[in-house]
Amino acid sequence: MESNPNIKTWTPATMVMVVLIIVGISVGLYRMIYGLGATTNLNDAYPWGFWLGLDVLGGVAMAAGGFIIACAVYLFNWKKYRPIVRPAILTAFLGYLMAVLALFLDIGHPFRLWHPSIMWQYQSVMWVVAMHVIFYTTTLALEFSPMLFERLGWEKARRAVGKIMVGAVIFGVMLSTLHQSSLGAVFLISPSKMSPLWWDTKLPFHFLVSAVAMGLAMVSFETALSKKFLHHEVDKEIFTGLARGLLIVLGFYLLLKLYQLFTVASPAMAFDGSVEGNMYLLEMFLGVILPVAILAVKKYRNDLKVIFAVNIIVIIGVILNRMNVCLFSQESYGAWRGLGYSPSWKEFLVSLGVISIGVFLYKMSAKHLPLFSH
Amino acid sequence: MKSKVASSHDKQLGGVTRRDFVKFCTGVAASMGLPLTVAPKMAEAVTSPQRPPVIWLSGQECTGCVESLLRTHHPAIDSLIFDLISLEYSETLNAGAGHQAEHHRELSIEANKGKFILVVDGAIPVKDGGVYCQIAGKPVLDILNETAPHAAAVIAIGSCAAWGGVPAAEPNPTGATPVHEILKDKGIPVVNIPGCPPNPYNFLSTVIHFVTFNKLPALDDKMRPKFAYSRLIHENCERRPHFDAGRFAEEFGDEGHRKGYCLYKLGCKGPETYNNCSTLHFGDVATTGCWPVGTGAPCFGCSEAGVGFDSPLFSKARVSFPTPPAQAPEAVPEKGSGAKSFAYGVAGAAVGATAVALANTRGKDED
Repeated sequence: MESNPNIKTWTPATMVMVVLIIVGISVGLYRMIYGLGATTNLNDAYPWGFWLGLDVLGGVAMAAGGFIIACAVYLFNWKKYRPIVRPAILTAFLGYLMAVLALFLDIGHPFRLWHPSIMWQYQSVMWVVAMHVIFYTTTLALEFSPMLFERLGWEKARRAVGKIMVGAVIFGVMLSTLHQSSLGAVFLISPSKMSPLWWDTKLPFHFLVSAVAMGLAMVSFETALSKKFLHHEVDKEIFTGLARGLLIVLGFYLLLKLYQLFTVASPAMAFDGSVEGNMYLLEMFLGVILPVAILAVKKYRNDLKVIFAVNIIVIIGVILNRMNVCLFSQESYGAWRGLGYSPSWKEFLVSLGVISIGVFLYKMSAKHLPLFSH
Repeated sequence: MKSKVASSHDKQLGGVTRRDFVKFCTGVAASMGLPLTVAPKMAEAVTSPQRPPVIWLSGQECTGCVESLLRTHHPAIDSLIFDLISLEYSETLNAGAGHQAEHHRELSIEANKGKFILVVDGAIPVKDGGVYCQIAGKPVLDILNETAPHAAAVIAIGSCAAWGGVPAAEPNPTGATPVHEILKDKGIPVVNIPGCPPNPYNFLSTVIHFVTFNKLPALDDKMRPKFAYSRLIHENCERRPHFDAGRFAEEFGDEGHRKGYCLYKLGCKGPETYNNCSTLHFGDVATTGCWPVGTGAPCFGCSEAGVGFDSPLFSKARVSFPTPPAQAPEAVPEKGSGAKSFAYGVAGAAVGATAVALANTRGKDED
């Protein structure tokens, strides 16, 4: 029995994904056997590379849509968004699973991933991040479970979860805001490594606000994709509502970033032609200024095709921001240390595999679980 | 006596300004590991009217040592031979020639008995009565034997004079012999400044030390000044971290060679050669890597008896001291330039994706 029999399992895209997953898993096994040094180009100046920047930081930011929509639907009772609450939660759940998977491969001793849950080091932001990941992934699993119980016909279990759902959502929102911001707080330790264009004591807030923007864009983006490929019909109002929210959040983010540019860094640093300056300009233009400029026009804000494009741009911009914070803001430091970094092909393959796993699981869930039942 | 050096700040010492000159003395003091306070004393000594007379004999040599000395700029050779020392005789730099020059040497030896410094470059052939190297019809062996007993100090400059060098290479047809072996019987000590050529400042420093303190600098068991020859080249080599980390140039012009990796596998004799090349570079350009290893040429052990002109050029040197394991952290990381190319790659991908996304907004809205 399938929830959406009109979704075909074996399409060319799916087959490509399966190949990428197999390759990614193979390289992942290689990393488990031969270690990080043999697999990645990480070094002393760049201990956090592509996996951290894209899969963990990007993946977690992508997952922000889960808590935003859950909050809107379960806490604020904005019924309009009910059709997309399950896809949003699923995305968040898969995003976190991918982040955990990437983290598992990225840390030096993968099988010590559970250590923070037993060995508490509450002076450390890293410990906070680890605990958040553990708790929030569990919470997301709980928020996700009704779909599974419905599919399996476990009515009792579903009703039990339904009773604590609001509590779980409140807990999840709390954890999520803390987790998104504490991922930024991790970087507070390296003011001397990072360019002031990014480093700021308010970096955690930047991370939270940009994650909200990314979450909104991501939910809107994948709803549009589901509509097109998975034949999931939704009202146009959902898209325009999300676009309006995106405009507000991005506008606020722009103010935050400008305040930081003028108080902590200086505009001249952005225009000095250095790698940091150029990447900052690109990130700000693509991820913030361009979307705000487009969405500010009412005509475009109501055009689904434009909204779709803007969503993509915002997603690219925020991922660019995470890569910048994690890697390129430290260009001067890396050059001073005499060390360079560009990911090895193995790192690329693993990242592709991890992303493919996420997309593949989403598609399989859409096919087999009551994802779009209203 | 009023100090000649301190008397006037604008007074020139034979083309050398006072400032440059004191700087030179300070440099000499530093390179010998002496306190900087001796620099003025050195300046006094080398500018005293009683300039130390120097007689320079040449045996089987290529004039490379003299040539390298001619290239010094702190001080330049002219101020050295006219103002600092009194060069009484040198085949390369003599103003006169033939019997006139020989006569002056004899006069000078007579006049400066027990006071002059005898410098010898080149090995001395002893086979067949020393007939293989003659000056003015006289074997250089005899000239040396006549001159050395009257010298205040004997300095053998260059590998040939110090331990035989090229002329003494197998099968040594002329019986080329180092200076100290010839003078051993007479009980005359010889300071050896080996090298092919040696760094001219090692020689200058030795001379000035003698002029200042009236005694020779501390010498090792092979009579080499300790300030220059107490350490292996390998110990202070700028490429040493590569050696310790196991990064070697495998052949000339390969990736490792171009990246400045260790030249050990190309036959660098730094690990068995005692000299200060790795800390005191050549050509008066201080620390710009102007020395063989710095330019990518393996050390061939020119200054070490039994290594230079003896062991094969490309054979691996014997490493005398154990080194840290290859997994020890590197002291000087490989040269890099941050994540620039990767950053711009990501930037390009982002711009491309944005362009595609925007291009797809054309056309009619489906709803």
